[in-house]
Amino acid sequence: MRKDDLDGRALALLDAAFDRPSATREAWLRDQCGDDEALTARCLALLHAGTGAEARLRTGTAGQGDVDAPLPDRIGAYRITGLIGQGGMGAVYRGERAAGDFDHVVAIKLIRPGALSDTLVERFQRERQTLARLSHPNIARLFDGGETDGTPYIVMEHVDGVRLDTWLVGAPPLAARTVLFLKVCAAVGFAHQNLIIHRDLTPSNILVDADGEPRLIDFGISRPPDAPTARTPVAGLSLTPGFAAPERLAGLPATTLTDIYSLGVLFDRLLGGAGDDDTRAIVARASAAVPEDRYPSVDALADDVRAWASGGVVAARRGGRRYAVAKFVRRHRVGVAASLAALLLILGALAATSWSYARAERARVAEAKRFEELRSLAGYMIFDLDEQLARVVGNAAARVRLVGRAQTYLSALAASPGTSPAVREEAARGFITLARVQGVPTQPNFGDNDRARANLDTAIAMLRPAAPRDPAAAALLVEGLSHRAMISAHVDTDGKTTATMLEEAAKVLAAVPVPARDMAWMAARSRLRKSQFEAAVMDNKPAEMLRLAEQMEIEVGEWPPAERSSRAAAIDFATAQHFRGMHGYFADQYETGTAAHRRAEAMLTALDEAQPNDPMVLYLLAYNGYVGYGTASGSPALTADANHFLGTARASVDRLIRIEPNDRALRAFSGSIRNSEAQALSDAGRQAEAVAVQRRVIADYTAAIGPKRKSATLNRLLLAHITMGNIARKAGDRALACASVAAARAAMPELEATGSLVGNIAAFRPTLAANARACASGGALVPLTT
Amino acid sequence: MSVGYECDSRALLGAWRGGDRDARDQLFAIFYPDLRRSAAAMLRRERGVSLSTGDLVQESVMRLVALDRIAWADRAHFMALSSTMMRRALLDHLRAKRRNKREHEKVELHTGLHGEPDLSVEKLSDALDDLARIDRERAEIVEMRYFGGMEISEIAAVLGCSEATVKRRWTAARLWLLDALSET
Repeated sequence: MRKDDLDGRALALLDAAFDRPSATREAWLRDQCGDDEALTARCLALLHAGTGAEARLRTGTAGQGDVDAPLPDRIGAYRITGLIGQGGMGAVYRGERAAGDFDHVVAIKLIRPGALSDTLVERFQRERQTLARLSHPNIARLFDGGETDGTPYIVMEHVDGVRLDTWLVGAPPLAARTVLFLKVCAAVGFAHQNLIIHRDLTPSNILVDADGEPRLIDFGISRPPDAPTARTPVAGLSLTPGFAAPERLAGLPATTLTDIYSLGVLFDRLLGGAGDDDTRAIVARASAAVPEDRYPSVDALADDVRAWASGGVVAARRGGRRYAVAKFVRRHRVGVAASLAALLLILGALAATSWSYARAERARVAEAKRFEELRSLAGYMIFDLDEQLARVVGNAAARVRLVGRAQTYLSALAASPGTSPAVREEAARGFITLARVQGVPTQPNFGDNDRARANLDTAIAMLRPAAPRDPAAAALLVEGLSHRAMISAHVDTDGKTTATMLEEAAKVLAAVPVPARDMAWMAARSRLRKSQFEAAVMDNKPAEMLRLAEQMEIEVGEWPPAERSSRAAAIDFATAQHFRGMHGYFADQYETGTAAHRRAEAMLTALDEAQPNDPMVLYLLAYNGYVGYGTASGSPALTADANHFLGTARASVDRLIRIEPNDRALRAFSGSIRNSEAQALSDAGRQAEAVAVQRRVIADYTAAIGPKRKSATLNRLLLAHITMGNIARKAGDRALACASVAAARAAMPELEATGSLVGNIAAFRPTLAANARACASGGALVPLTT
Repeated sequence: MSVGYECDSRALLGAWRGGDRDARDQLFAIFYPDLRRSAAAMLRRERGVSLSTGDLVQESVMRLVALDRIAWADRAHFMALSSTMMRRALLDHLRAKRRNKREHEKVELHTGLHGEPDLSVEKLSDALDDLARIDRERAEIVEMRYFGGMEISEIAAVLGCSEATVKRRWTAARLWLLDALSET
């Protein structure tokens, strides 16, 4: 046992020795061992165990930290007098400032190229001022920073001390360890008050001087432990019981709670075996996996530690690890598990396989890549895209980037063979979500219908085989088919394919056995009804439209009680009213239609007030207003309603455009709404106002033209020029009328070249030509007609 | 396999990630019999051929992830667990063989680590037991590296310390092992 103890101490010293240049290690070890001859002998024996005949063994494992580069002469204004240590980030030198009237010793950290990402360097620059002002007895002062030969460096207070883990080798008394921890807490708490987060509290970032005073170094500049490196593709995985909080793995930014997590682990390390139930509770709470379960502040943690040290009641005992475990189980009940059944499967696979290193390695790399992708996918795609993109106001550029990224991941995932059904289902869900953002008509989207169509087809193909056995896959398949039908209906104007898709969706839905019809199934049914309604509109079948509206209302009533009062239910009820309004428009029942549109608008307005800027609600408001205008325009008695609806449509679409200025589909929609408005104004003889509105129509349609220059948008813009020509003529603005005629004529060849000039627009050609001649000769203008 | 059983394993994995060593030992008890069976099957097939246990561990864990039976985030931990199991499985197999055949069958570890010699499983294992008495975590690092073929970064993730620390401790532990193995 005595030899074991000796070896333990020797190994700890050896650890620390490897932080030093190899030439100085022996001297340093002799120095540390003092007059303990047995320890000295053992240390040196171990140090030399790897030399001589076995020296070759060191290659490959010695690591790249073992660089005995010559000392630089000076860095910045400091003369370099020695090497303090080597770390992952780079070397730390002792420097002296010779110039000026004072000499002081500093520690200069020269950051190894590549050790800090650009973001970190940028953040450091930003926070440097604050860091430099961070003056606390237990925080090493930051003096300066700069670059030498392109390598960034940091000048900080020189602390004459040892790393915390080295200090612990000396087995300081429990009281001293507790006091030290409270001082560390005080320092971290002080930093938090100054809005500085340490981000990487570990024993190597805490130095202890000869008086036992801790000093924290590397505030805010530490490399986050989850920063992936190119060399090790799995290095990003540091969800650990260690010092880095689990939420960092998800790529979430560090918060004060991240530091509290690290403090909890640090406390555990400091206690060693000296902990009891109370300290375990404190550690469990401080380093709880879920940030919200942790102490809210460093002070709260320190209070508990003080209470424990003085024998008081510890707040954390209210919910310790047992509680955390129970919570974990609850939270992951549906999740995947390491089950024996799975292991048996593996064993079967193992038995059937012969092993070669290269093959296994290839498989490992492929699997690692795939699941890394899946992990990113889960993080970015399912949560970010679905939650943030669909609901929260966002900037289009970031959304486009995310969509592109999701597309890459999903394609890679779909292309790899042998994925499990659950993974396939998740990928299919991803494809559907992505397609909706890219371009499923009747909801806010990027207008990239082609990609949306392709992604929906992929999802449908992935789901079809599983749907008969798996209700979740069936529900997803119904969703995918319903969205896909919308592209057939609105983009491809292919009624046959639309009908085929919707029939398949209805069959899949009906095939799910009644007991398995959960909320996902009901949501899929609701989605199908909406698409069926759109198809009924395309086919001009008012009776079917009314039937679907009624059916939707009945079906929401079948939702589980808790869901019936949900926002989704409220949206479905409003949608049903909107559908009733549309029925009124198509069935020429203007009065009842207008009333339904009014009810839909009231319901949607309430939803908007409860949760403002939900794009889906705004979109429905705009569309309900647009159709409502049409319905109310059917009867002269409803003119006031018509104007009201047009106002709602315009206001709603303007709000949507403010949220998403680059959404081309929205600009096209805005143009259509204003086109109606300009017509109405012109008909009412208010030509000057009509001209102003029509200018905005042209601006909207112009903005709606994407890189693909879709013929539908080009045709609409052409028509808008023609309308402008007529309004300008009536307004007596000859110059504008002539300019509009010229613009309309100039827009024709592009459409003609692809054979996509709409026939009734082509019919304007004679009057356009006549007006062009009149404009050139100064003759009288004539109305532009077909 | 009951749902409750699955929850158990998962909760244990979570508790272990939270630092609970007892949970780790319980997981070991759950999974060990199966890993031992597979190791034995492998040894029967691959008699006399040097064997990379790391491959087996990597592959089994990858398959678990692929089957969605463990979360990706748990992977490194599960590999660490499998490393320990692999060591035990190899030893058990060797001892059983010797009992049956009354002869010594030497199985060597092909670690796949550049520049490392092939080591006798038994000798290394005995030395590791000695090292574990001195410093359990250090022995675990060796176990993960030799028996699990894990990267420094993965080991760092499991132990919750920096890669630099693992590297230092690994270097010192290797020296200690070389010293111990040269004595016998």
